[in-house]
Amino acid sequence: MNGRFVRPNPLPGFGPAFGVTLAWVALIVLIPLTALALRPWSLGITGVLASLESPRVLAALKLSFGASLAAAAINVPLGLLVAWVLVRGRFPGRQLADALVDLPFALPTAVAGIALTTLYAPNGWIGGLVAPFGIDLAYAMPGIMVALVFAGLPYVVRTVQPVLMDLPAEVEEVAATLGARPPQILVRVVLPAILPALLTGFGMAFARAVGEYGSVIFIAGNMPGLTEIAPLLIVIRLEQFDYAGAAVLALAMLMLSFTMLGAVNLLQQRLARRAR
Amino acid sequence: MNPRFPPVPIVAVLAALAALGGLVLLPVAALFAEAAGQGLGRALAAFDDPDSLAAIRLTLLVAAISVPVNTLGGLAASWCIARFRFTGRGVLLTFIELPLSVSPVISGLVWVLLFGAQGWFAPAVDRLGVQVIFATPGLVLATLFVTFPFVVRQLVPLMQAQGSEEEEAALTLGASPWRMFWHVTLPNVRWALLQGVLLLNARAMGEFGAVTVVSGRIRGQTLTMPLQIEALYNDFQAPAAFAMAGLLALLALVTLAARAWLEWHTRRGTDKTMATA
Amino acid sequence: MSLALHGIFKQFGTTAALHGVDLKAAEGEFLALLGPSGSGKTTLLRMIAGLETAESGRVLIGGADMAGVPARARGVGFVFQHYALFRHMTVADNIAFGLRVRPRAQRPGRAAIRARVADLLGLVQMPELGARYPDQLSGGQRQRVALARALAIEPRMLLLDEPFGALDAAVRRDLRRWLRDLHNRTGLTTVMVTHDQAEALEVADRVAILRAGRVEQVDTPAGLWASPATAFVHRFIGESVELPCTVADGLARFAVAGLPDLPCDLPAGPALAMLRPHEIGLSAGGPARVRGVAVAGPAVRVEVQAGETMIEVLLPPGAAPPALGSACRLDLGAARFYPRG
Repeated sequence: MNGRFVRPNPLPGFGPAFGVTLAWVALIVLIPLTALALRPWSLGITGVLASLESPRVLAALKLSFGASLAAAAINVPLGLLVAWVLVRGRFPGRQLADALVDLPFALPTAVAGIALTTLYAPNGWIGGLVAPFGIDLAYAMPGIMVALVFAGLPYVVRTVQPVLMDLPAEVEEVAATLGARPPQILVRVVLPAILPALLTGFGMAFARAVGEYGSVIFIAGNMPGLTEIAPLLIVIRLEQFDYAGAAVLALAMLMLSFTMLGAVNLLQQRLARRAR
Repeated sequence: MNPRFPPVPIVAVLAALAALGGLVLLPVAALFAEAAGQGLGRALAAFDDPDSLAAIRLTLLVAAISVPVNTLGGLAASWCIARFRFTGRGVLLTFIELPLSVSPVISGLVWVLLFGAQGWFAPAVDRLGVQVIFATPGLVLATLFVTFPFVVRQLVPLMQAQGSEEEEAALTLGASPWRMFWHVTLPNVRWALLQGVLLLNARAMGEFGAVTVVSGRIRGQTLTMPLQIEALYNDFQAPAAFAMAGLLALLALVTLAARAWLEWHTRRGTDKTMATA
Repeated sequence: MSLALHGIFKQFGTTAALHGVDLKAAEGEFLALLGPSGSGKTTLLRMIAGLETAESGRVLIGGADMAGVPARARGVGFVFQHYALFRHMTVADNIAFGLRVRPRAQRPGRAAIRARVADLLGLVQMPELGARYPDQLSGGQRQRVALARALAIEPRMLLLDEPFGALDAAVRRDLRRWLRDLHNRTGLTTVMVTHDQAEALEVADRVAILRAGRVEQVDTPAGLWASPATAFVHRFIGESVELPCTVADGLARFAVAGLPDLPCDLPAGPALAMLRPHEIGLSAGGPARVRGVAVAGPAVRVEVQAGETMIEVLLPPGAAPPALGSACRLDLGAARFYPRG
């Protein structure tokens, strides 16, 4: 670097653009997140721990992270199937189906929440089918799972799709000429190539699910200790003006999910390196 | 789509379509069915309510502020990141993408911590007599946070793929920095930029979790459309809630359609780059 | 306008890209910068245009120091390797760009710009194609549009970065001739970067050969061909036969058995004798053996074994090919000597 901050370049405008960027990032992202990182410690270490140790908090964290992991795990095979069909399949309406994938991403979460609730409530199209058997979908665990799978699906599909598209036909053809049967080709040739992308998609779906609020709270039932997700508990603490308590829970959530994302990234990088 | 690939079994196609249909299409269909089931008259009547109109106005106002701010910031950041090599470039990009992995609720919470009771900036805004939390500024700030990376994520990969030769050519032909930006840089990324702005706008108008936290839910004053939907729904005013939800769902569908069309344009643009290279 | 580079030094990270380059081009001269990839030739060209900055050294255009003068004020026409045509503008708009972005006071009127664009389209032999977009043109056509766009600003000199690099062989040959023609007509000082020695030798008045950030030799094509200054230049501009030898007392003794000593004015020490295959004489009877004979067009290629070494000889057209396995003698009298080690 020669001790220089920016490598010389004939293009103009780095100074002003960098100034604007720095102000923009600092004011909207850095300063607020710093406030979040520091605020919990106003309670002291013991206060922070006490705030986390309540059974209600632990239950909420367990629910949020457990359900999100499960939802992301469901999204992996589901997203792979959808991506594979969209890339390799040829059927009428393929492009429409492709556009549908982004809907959970584009639909406002509150709208998704009441739409899912309408569908899965005991008097809804799907909820009504199982209600006679005494099965509750909405206002219970299954409802939460449906909402989280819904929210995470585009992330897996959209990360796997381009990789699947770039996979050359030759590789599979060579495997076939060497005597591999289709399931063997899938497991030994295709899967290793897309595993890093699948893992990335898993991480993104998981991160989205952990933080998800709007699409879950309508369908979840929100029973403390049972179907109360961690983001909702943050909102509740804020409504009780327990700002430090809300910050503790928020920071704990962020740390947990960043740790998990970090682990997923590490694994993904290792896999990607091996695949190369 | 390569004909050399073995055909996808019809079972797989059906399973994927069933999954997409059941999980994604059906809820939206149920929503529209519910909204339409009230009859058009009652659905439209929902928009006569002054609180609902206020919510629509507030949503438009919040979007009208946050979309340009994040677009300009995103353009400046993309120019730095895609065109220059500088110390801390990777860190900067990480910070810009950070809001994507932060829960919407936390994205709102951070502003309460800054401007709410005992917040760092609370004394300053009190002295100025400005209300931030439980008021429009708070809604704008929360929206800015959640829509922060949209433009950068669209522009940086494209600008890196395009390279800077055209801009250098413009300079050697005597163009001033502004001329270069307006006549070369901006036209080359216009479709991707528009896509980013569309997504940014859709998210800004549809954000729920982050604005929940900073809104304080004052009817007719701090409820944006998604918050108004929740309020109506919890008040058992289902027809009005569904009418407004239908409107937002429509916005999402239009955004997706526009984006698909733009993506097609961008892809054509990159194909051209390939052909020129 | 004339060009002079003095002591140009440039570093990328910790590796030096250019080590004190000095170079001159006279007004109206066509100078080629020739070298393998990584020799620093493109960096040098971009430096002239103001697209790259030197750590030290001076660039003078028409005698004026260009330090602190940005690319847009240098008035040089730069043709990029991949043309860098503005993809969203028509051919005509591309060509007009440099005129339209001038400050209002110096900007020609609309009609004048249109006339100039038409002139240039004629000059590059595509009068009908002004309304096309770059992606509707062939590679050769894009190349010519890039040239027309650079010429539109009436540049003080023309800089070409691998102008034929992306084209196929037949188009290349045509464009080469056309470019030389254009230069003869406009008399514009031109600097061209290339890695293709045939191209440089055919088109340029003088060729500067670069290697690892240093100028090895600057000379006319004929001069380079007749007397390469270094072994590198010898190798780079044509087929070479290399024979290691040792110089002592004004005589070069070959390591290869059966080759006669030759007079040599290098100081004592290890050296390298270099020749073109056609400069080696071959006569019947002697210590060497003919190991291979191949007819290469009008000429004949002969592989001769001397000791353990195979030496390639190119016989002039019409020479009778020697019999395979026959004894022969090599005449290395035309050898050029370079110090080795």
